[in-house]
Amino acid sequence: MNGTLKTKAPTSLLLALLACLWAATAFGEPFPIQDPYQATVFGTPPQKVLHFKAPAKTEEQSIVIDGRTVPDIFWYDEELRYTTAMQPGQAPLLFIIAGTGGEHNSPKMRFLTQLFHQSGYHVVSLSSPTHMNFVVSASQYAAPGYVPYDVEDLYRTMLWIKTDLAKEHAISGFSVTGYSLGAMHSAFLARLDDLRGDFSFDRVLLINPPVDLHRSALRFDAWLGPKNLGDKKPRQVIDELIKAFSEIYKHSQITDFDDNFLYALYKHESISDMNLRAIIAADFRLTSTNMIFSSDVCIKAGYIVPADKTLTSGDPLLPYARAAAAVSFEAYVDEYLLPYIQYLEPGTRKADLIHRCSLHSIRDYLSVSDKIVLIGNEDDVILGPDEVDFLRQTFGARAHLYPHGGHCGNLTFKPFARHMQELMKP
Amino acid sequence: MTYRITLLLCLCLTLGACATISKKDPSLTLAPTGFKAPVSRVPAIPGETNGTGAPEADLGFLDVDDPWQPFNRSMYEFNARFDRAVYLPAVKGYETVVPYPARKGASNVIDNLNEVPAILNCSLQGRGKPALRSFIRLALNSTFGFLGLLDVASGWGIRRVETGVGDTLGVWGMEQGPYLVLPFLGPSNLRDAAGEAGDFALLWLEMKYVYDLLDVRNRRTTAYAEFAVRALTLRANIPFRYHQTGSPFEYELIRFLYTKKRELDVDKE
Repeated sequence: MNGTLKTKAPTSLLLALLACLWAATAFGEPFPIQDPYQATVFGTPPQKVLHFKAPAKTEEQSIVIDGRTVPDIFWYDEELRYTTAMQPGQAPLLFIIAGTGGEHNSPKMRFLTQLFHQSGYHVVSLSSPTHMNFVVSASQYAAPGYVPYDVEDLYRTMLWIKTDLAKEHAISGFSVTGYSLGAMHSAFLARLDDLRGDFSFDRVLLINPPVDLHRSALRFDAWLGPKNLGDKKPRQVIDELIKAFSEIYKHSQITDFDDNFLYALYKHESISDMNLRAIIAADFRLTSTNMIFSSDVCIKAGYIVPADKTLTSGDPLLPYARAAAAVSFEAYVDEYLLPYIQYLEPGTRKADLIHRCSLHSIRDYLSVSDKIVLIGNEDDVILGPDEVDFLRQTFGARAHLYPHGGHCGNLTFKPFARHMQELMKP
Repeated sequence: MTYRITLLLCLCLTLGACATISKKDPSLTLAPTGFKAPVSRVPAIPGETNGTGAPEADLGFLDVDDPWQPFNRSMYEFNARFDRAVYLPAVKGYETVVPYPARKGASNVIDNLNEVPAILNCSLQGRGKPALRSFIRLALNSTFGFLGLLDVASGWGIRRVETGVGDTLGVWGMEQGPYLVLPFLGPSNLRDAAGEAGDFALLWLEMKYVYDLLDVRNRRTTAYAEFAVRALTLRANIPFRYHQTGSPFEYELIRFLYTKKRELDVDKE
């Protein structure tokens, strides 16, 4: 910039000014955290978060499937829970799908619910099919992580909800969005709907989608291994994190482990990128641990729990948690998911499974469907540089990529949130 | 009067119930498919013989002294069911029937009454500053706050001190002891269970004094009503919902978090 000014050439100055102006309108205020791993873990600094002055009233609803075999220890997940936030009059309805392991009313989901309700949508927020509540209560095959099945489960559920809500509310159209894995689901839902026509989605917004689920998951596996950690063990990273949390808790007046607490941690501790990567991967591993155990108990496959054992509410579960937490995503696919899919659909190869869980498999569809738009970050930690290029090439002008924000780190950042609203204007 | 309270509680319960869509689809009943995983990773469980020796992750940080685990787990599930079937619907009903200002007022009065045991406990713990803070809060809210109905102290940035007999015992050097899930009250440990009993005794003494002061006639009925409002307010102010962590290992996670938090509470400045 200084160099440009020194040339004194009015045309280049004008050009530089125009470029700045363009950048300002395209990206607004830049996201304050430039490190993608910090952005992913800590999210948006509290003072930069978009707040809702008069939050809409939300309702928790549920669906129960008659005669479904719900394991005794999962009695609490007999019903599929979801959130609705309805407009008083006629409005289009937006489905929001949570990311991996996300619940319908997680902080990110509550934010998106309010954001799009404010835009004028009736909003229905759904847990990810990888959340245990979905696995236990509503999934047909109860083996999450295989996108074609997960999308069928979502589609069926959304149809039920549509029928139910249409009885009492005026709905003028349908749209769908989701973040992370939920964004990938949204893309596949759009295509499925184009074939079946039950919703005829007007708008589809993909927020920080993975391009290839398998590849992104393998990145996480690697971050818990020696390639990232060297001689360090994941346990040491967790112990250090617990210690840092403890110090802050002891020396502050904060009594809740909320966003402010996370921000205090961000301000107080400088955590290395190596550790941050391990934390992101450990969080993902916790999700997969929950998923693997829940799935195995539901279908009695004998993977983690003996097939003939019926767990009761008094049984200690920590040994099973230890066994399931040792399963990498790769191992989950090889030892459980793929054999199960092959059992249900003989002849399925591993390459098929991976391909069907990737946006590459619907590239042609995505590149011509104008109703689908994408918003995300160039430094998304679940994407490789070639995957960012893939998104750019496939979506063209419909790809809105910010330079910083990591994976969903800037979701609640004012300019980013306003941009999402603008892209989804009903 | 007792009859009216019962009626109100029943009304609360019915208002709290929510609608569920019921669906019939034979393909969604999770009927056994006969699939068995080609690899088994069943862990070794004491008293069982089918451990596979598969690798296990080091989750040692989750270990907590829990010798009464079967009892505790059952109690945890009992509390979760009670919460879902009775407690939360009652709170929802309470929030429907009683307007927000009245609920807020009740919550403030309860908080204000709780300042007295807080002052006592802070003093016993040798924590001068928090004791003074609680005392100032009590003085301000009882006068400018119309006998505690308004929390003017918080408005001036004087935050409430949350402490009890459990903390006092901890500061005096008593260990937490084994983990213990109490009926209705939830996660605790041997020391904090004793603390709960102490808190209850202090509260009883304090309320007896307050009732004497106000010359309350129908003591039993008033005490029931007070108990109900306290119980409803307590639950309304806790955002926690059982089994919504999305983890089948919630018991283990909560046990770890509770124990860690209590350890730090005692060391807190």
